[in-house]
Amino acid sequence: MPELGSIVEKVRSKNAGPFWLTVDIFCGSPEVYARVVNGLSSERVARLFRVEEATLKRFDIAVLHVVKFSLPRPAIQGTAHDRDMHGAGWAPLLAEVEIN
Amino acid sequence: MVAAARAESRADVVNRGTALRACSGQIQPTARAIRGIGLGPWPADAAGALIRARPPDCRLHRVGRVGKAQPRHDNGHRRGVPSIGRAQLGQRLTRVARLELDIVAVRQLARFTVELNFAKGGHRTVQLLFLAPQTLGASRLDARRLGCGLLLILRSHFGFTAQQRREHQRERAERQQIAEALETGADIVIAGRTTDTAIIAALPLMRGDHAGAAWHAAKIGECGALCATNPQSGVIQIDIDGEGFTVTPLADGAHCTPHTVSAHMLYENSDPFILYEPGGHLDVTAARYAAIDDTSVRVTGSVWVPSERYTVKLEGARVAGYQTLLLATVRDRRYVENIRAWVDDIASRHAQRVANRMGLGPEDYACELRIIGVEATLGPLETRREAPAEAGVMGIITAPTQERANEIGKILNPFLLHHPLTREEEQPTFAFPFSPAEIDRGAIYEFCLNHVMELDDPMDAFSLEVRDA
Repeated sequence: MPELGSIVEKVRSKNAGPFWLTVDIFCGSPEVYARVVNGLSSERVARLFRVEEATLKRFDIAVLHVVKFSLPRPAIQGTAHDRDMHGAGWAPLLAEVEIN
Repeated sequence: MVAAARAESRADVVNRGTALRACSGQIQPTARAIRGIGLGPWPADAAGALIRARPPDCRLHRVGRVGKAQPRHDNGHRRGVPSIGRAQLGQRLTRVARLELDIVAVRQLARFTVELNFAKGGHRTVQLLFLAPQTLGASRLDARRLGCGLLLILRSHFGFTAQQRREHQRERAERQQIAEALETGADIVIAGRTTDTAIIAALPLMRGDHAGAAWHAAKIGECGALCATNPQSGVIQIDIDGEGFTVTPLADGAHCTPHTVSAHMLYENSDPFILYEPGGHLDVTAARYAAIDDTSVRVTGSVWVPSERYTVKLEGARVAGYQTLLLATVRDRRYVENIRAWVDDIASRHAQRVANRMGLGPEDYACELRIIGVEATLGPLETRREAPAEAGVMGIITAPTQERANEIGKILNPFLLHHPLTREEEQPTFAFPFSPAEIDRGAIYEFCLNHVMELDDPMDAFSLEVRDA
């Protein structure tokens, strides 16, 4: 099975304020969008980022062919345990999951 | 946050729309300019509080009205054509804002700005200062505690009726702090942290343009050409009027499409349809994005929903310790293959030696060893398990004082330099890129306050200081 990042245009992540992380999947076409919507469950994403599924926000935005996830940051920005001040380094984690 | 604005004569432009230019470049000030700001010592334990929904940055905004007849591609440099510029002022300034010492930072930046404009003369600089609750007069306070945060709700000393509140609410739809500063006739406004959007939305709001369009345009324009096909191309123009707004990138070869413009609502926003701002929220669920030509996009249908109570977001930070870093790089194949075991062994032996020599336990300091090349970015979330050619080991020591952090770092030093995987081998030596190996990085700050504060009047927690230079 291919990796998500190899079938979509782009996967990016970024802080959404100091307490939240947001990950955008730009699918690029209706076909790929449908494949991602059907093939990538919220439960799987929550497990990947090790957050409670209930805290995960998901937006399937058909008009943009975008699937977006927002979740509490693994560590609050700037704390001693924060590994990535701007939150861009979490995107590859999602880009490397395999998808049907 | 630096905001600079040119508010032109407004009486003759109401209802004709507002044109703004926004760009996303970075200004890296020279060492001389940095010295010019006079970044001296500041009270390290002070906690400021401010209105901003995002992590702090120092940004330079110039806001102005641009004649609609202006040709494209002139970059706004023509005499008398003000433009919106926007930039991060480099790392040291960012750090000032990061300290959350809003007022200190604003005053320093004001001095910097006045000096920069000294040669030109004729500028009016306005400082917009956030007032920490304890600096407000006692008569203006109705002190309460919110949750666990030691937070004061600010109220004016007037007892407003419900009817008056509703009237104020209507007034507030067209009022905000940056606009108040522009009303003084400011050429340049220097504010503490604000939301990205508040600075751009101020001028169209005060001129009576569509409130939903003003806030939506401000969000789309916050990073300049990031909403265009060529994100690095810098400047865009946004024309805001009584119904909606139009976005046009100014660089040759850059295009805005309904997709690129609407997709910017995703950026750094946990909800792509709702954006909370002081005094209400923007709802773009019903927004329509239409291509005017192959370059410009027209947006209508954005809705501004005023909140029942006017609130500003409060963020505060405090010192969370002092850090010392060490970095070693490991290229020996056997060590790279066993890097986790090597690092874990070092961690436990180091902790033991710190306990023996300094009498310190886990509650007195923190020492983290991140393995660059293996898991430094994602930590326990990492899913890839490939052996790298080399690995970096970054020691991060956090302690209540810099001296203690450095001393703990000095105890870590010989482990990173010489620790063997097994007892039966010759003493190895690993690469240190720096000498001395201990790098004191000063205080670290963490957020300690995340609240909203209710204000009867948007200016209750702010003051304006006007300087003519």
